[in-house]
Amino acid sequence: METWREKTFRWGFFALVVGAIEVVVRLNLVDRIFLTSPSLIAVAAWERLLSGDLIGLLMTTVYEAAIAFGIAVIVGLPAGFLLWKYPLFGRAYDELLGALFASPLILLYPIFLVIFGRGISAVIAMGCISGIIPIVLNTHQALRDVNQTYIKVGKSMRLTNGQTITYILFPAAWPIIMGGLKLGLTYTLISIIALEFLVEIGGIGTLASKGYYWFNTEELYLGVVGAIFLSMIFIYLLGKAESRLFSS
Amino acid sequence: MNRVTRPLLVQIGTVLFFMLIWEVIGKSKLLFEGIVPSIFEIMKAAWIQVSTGFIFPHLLVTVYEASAGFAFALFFGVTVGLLLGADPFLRKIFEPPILYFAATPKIILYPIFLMIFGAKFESKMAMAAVSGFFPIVINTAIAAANVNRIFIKVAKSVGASNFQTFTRVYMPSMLLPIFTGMRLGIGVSLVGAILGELKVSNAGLGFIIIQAFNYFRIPEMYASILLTFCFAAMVNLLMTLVLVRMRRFAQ
Repeated sequence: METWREKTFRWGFFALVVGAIEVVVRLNLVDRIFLTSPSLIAVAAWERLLSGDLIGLLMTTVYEAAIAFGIAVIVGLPAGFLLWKYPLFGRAYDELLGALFASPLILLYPIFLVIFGRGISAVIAMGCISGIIPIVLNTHQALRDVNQTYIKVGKSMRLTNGQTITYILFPAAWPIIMGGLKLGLTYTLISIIALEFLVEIGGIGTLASKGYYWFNTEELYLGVVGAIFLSMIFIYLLGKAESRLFSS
Repeated sequence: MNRVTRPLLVQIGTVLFFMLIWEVIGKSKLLFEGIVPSIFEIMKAAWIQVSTGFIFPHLLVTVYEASAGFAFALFFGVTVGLLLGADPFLRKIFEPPILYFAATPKIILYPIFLMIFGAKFESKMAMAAVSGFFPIVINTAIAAANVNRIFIKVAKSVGASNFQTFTRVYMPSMLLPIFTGMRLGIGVSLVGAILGELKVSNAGLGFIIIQAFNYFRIPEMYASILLTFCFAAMVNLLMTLVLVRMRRFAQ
């Protein structure tokens, strides 16, 4: 458990950094084009919150991530299961998927733009592809790692195949599968925000790009901070969900 | 048929199957004309880019940006990682935020770098530096924290100075994990630089990809992406080979 002392130091450090930026900008030590003060970003955020468009952008990103991740789960879990069921394909595709996972998939985005058109379906496709690979790989790994004794015990109790899957296989494999889901969602979100920024379609990532092109420094920083916050909140919630699931 | 060749056959079969589907979709005119060019056309475009030497100046630019950025990432990653690993209190304070930042999309910081460093090489170097920093700092911190405490005590008891403890105890036992971080870091540095080029640039691998996209020269776009992937895979393979060599040497 973290002590209050560590927390104080950590948050104190970040408060100090933010305060220092505020002072540096207020004293006009740097050009306002490069760096703007946190208070001005907060004002911009507040105005956009009131007008509702910041919420709209964030919700667009969350919506894209939800659909992409949903598809990745629906396809990825059964795919991982099939790879476990047919070990020949499992061995073959583990290597192929591993190679894909190590390759810079995000660089494929122009292809998605060409095939899906310049819209949010391209963003969703990119997010889905990035998220699906860790899900498949981890599900496969998780099922392979299930202690064979459990399955034999189930057999000796005359469980049907379906019962073996629901009562033995998945509960035993769940922690590693969950790890894959976590990784998958993280990758999905990273690709989605990156693509939003790169091609200026969709949600919060577009804000930073627009801010840059229009020399609107507050908007630029608001986009950057908003995107980073959004991904951090996701990771935080994932951590919570994981500990909640395993403590029960 | 043994354990090795059968999966290999499945792999080759799968790749061929996807190529076939690609060709069929391209020929079927189901999608918009020219979106899915024939694989032969892509190969031809790739061959032209290589044989005329068109791609090499751009490759050089990307390598220059990525490696300069990576040098910064390595220096700061190892330094900060050592500090965090050697001091449990610092590690407790800063490790969680670093892990959180590591999982955010670094490309979103690019407009800030563009503002500060301009649209030329320096902003891509900054991208490469920030991208590569995280895997290195995380691996170094873990490595430094896992250095066997007994070795350090022995070194102290035989009267080794701080510097000697560092070079004789920390360095040898941290070399492998740091190199593992470097292998990951060099990959993401490369991707960081190329992503930067895709957004705003006037040279580099990312630039020729997006240039072909903007002028709708689709076979060239696929060819450039293919060559970029090949290059990234080569770098990865090289680093892995060196790592395997080091592992064998360490044993």
